[in-house]
Amino acid sequence: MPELGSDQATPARPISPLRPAGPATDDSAGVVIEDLCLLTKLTVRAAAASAVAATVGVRFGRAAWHGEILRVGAGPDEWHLLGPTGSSMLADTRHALVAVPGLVSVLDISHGRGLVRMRGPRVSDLLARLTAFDLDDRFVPDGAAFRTSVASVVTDVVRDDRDGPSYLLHCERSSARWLVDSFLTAGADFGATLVDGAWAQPAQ
Amino acid sequence: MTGGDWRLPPQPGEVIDRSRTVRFTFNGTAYVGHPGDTIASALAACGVRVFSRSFKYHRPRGILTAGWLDPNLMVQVGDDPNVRAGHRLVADGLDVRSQDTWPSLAFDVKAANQLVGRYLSAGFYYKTFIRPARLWPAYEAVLKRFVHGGQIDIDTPHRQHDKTYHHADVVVAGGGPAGMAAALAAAEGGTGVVLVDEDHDLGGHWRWDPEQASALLELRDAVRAHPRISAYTDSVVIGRYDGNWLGIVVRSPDGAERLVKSRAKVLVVTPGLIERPLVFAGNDRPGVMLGTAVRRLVNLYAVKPGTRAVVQTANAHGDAVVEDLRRAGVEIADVLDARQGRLVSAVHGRRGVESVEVAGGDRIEADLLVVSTGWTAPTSLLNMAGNRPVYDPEAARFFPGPLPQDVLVAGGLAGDGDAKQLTEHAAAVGAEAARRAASTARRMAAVPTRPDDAAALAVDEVEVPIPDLARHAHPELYRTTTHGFLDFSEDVSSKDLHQAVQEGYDSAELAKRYSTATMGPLQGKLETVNAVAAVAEALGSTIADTGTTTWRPPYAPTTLGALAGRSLEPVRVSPMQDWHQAHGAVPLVAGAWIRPDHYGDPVAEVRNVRTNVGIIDVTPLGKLDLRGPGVPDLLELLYVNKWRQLAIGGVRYGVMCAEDGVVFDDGVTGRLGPEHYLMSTTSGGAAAVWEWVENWLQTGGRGWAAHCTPVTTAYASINVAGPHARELLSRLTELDLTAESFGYMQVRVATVAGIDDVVVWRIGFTGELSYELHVPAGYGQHVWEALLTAGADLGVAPFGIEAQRILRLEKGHFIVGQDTDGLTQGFSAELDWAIKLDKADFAGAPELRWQHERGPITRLVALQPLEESSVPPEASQIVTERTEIIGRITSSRHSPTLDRSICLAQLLTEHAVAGSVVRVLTPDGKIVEARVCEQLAHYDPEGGRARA
Repeated sequence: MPELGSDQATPARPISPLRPAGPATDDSAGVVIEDLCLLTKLTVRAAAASAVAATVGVRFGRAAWHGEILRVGAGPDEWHLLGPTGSSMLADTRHALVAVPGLVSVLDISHGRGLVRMRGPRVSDLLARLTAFDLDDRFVPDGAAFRTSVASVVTDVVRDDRDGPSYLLHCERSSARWLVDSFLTAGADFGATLVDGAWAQPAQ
Repeated sequence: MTGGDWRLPPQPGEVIDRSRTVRFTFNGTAYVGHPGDTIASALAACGVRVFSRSFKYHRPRGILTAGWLDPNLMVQVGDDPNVRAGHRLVADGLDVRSQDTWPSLAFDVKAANQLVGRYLSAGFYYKTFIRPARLWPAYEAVLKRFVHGGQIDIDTPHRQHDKTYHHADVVVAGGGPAGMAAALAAAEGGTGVVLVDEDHDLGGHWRWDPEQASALLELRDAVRAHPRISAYTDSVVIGRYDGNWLGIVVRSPDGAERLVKSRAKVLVVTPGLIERPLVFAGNDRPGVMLGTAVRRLVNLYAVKPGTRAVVQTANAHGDAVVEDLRRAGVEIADVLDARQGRLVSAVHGRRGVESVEVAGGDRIEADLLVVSTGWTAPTSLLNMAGNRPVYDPEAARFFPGPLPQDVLVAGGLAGDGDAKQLTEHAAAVGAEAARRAASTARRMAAVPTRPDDAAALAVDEVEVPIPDLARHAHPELYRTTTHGFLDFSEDVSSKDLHQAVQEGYDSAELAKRYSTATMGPLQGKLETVNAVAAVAEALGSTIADTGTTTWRPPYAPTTLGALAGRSLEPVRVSPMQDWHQAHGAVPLVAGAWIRPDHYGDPVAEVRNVRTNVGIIDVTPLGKLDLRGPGVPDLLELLYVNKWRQLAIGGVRYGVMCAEDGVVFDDGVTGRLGPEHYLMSTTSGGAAAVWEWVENWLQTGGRGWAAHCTPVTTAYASINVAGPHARELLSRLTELDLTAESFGYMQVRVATVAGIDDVVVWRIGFTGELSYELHVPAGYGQHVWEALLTAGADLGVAPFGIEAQRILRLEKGHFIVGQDTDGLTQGFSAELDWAIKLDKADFAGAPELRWQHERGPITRLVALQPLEESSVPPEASQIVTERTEIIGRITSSRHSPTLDRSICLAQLLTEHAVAGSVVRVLTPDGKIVEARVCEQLAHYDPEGGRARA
């Protein structure tokens, strides 16, 4: 019997767990939170020493852009791939890894994870209110990836700078609203706002 | 309106803004001050000399230090008790009141305590109220009236106290000249510095020293301008913990506090020295002030502290006080220099100083006695770093012992010298702190988040030479020829300490606890050394041999709000939460989840499921995606039943037991592909099961090739239950739903309501024909609404957790954690049919084999009360005629379907006999008789409805 299920796209538009106010209209806010929940997100599990590590091309603790896909070394034997909505990442990744020996798991976790980008001049100050992690440039430079507790939620963080510090944060979907609401409340004095996000690789 | 008759002409270093005035009240009388004034300085400028009454004897008290540490300046401001009037700045409209004074501050009835003062000495409470014990409630009621701490209004609006993290390379605790010099040098060394000072501005004692005015401006400007220094004023480092984990409380002008946590690579301790009071008779009279109080009042606030003064001095600071007083126009009646053997023996006066008695008999008329006779080294943060300070009798104060590598000390705490020597020493300390911090940073940078080609952080390997500081000789002067107060907060005298020692409390730690000396709001900052000196004197010993008490965090009193910070209790919601909210769902908090308990009428919801069809949001059910050839072996170990033969498309119910055989979780697992499974767990057990699975995979040592990924919230989960469930679902999918094609305990992946990859399980918790849909979460609300639309003519309606609980109880399905507990092993949960002891191994097998051999102590049974309308509350005990406990009700409800009361219960095995009647003792003392049923299911025991 073949594998149950398929990778076909569906016509209906999924709903984000967040409630953004709309597109960004004012970039003067101290912190802008962009809703990127509907992005395509994959998780790849394999032994770090395997050929998968070489194929994915990024090690634990670091993230790197490959075209419009951000590849993240999320854990010792775990990678996240973040890409534009509706992309063929799942099929492409499975295809790329099919020849790799040993157990390799590729899961589409797009629906299971909330994802936001946080940027703005006060973004580090706001993060410091909700996470104990030391975000100093020496330890968390651009391209750093780590998992920590943010507002008491287990959160994957990627530093992905855009004209200043910028962070991608993702957590399991059911807590995403709480996480973002925590930022909006704690960052009210910074003018923190939640807006629709757009996925784009950094300018070269 | 009372104005500022005691205000001096402008002073060079004053911090008040004379161009503006602020108006406030003290005990209902209106006063004016200037911005920059503290409450105390503004009142003192208006001639107020008495600010409070003391703790035990209600003696009138005036300014002692004129700063944060002043024990006599605790006031109530609005609904904020215990405000430090020597520190809190005045503001328009402040309502300031004295605490625990009745009927007034001027005439306080409780001052009568002084008349029986001889009976209120150390240990008074312990001796007086210890017996008879039955009278303690009466004692307590009276004693409560003497609580000395202001009033709290429980209706005060709750304030949010944001916590934040600021991980600095170097934290400098103390922003005086040494602290600023150290911070500047550390910052110049390339490190980020946090500089913390308790006062409203940086500068320490230089702020009230006219001779240092220009040096202060220069140093302070350099600190403020440095981009790598973050200065927190009106703040204090309250604790130092392992690894230089520091708590910093940052105060705001209105008294609100915020906690900043910092993992400092190096801590530099520069708190300066605290001027120590002198013990003699009448040393608490209003008008007896420390030299620092006078210097603050004159130089910072331009307040004349008195008209005619006697100065008791033993050091250069006292000499400077004399100069300040002269400049302020205060007549100097006499200067008693302890270095020349002249000492005060007593102060006389009813409400304040009227005369000063000198040892030897002379009496000097004066309204002010200024005392500058010694210093206390605040070694608290060093103690918290494991340091034991050492007393130096030549210098008459404690000095630090050997320090850990990540703690350095500068300023008066380290030694003596002139301004140049002290700041040069501090600068060297700051530079060395920067070097050590860089070394730590280099070690910390060995983290995977840095790129492979990142250069190693630079460190100077050569230690910075730190010059030695001298220790200047100082008279050892703690008490003169008479006894007096040594703890102003607790009204403890030197005599009390002598008495404590005589009664056998012959160490500083014991005497402290017995007398409560040093246990008040100041926590020993003014009192500790005097207390130790008194104990040493009573013992005929020395301070060095007596040692000091232990200083523990917090260094300063901290509000609970600051410690609590923002409430961070995550809330989880399903993709359909907005729909539930919009349609009147009554929320239920289930762990972190917010779930619909019901939509108005849970009984109607039950009936609708039994007769039509209902849908329930079961998204919180734990879901784990399992992949790999090792999954069957994994399942075989996790569950008590067998899994190797599960076919693709099949679903099986399983129970997990912990290694002690206790039921841990249950759920179903379906096989989606050759090496692909989807496991469900209970909602509450999702995280624990994931951890359990990973624990076995990572440490089980069995080498299974299997991956486990939590996908609980990747799916919106909807259970469609009821006789019309098949008809409803068939309207939204082309999947063949016939019983022949898609039977009970089967799984399919299908397109439902246009959404692909919906996992459809044919299982049921309610006892009805049901399908559980696991929909990609982003489409959850779409499918939910599609079901309601498509099934309108079938009577479809949502149902909540309460209806589900009733339905499953009717069906006799147990809930792990409710119908079982932390001691319920597998056979006690009626799982005989599921536990396969012939398996080679599984988690909990040895314990379950043993339980099987000896028989379970209790069994899960269904009960039906004989009186059908009587529903015994859950947790009611089941008892014998002699009220011996033989079991308990674990679940109970009135069944709308059967129109009778139904229960599940844990019952001792010998009583779990079908048909027998047991007695249930309800919490209100009634006995409800109930019959033990043949099986757990009260409804459809054959299961025909679910298998339809």
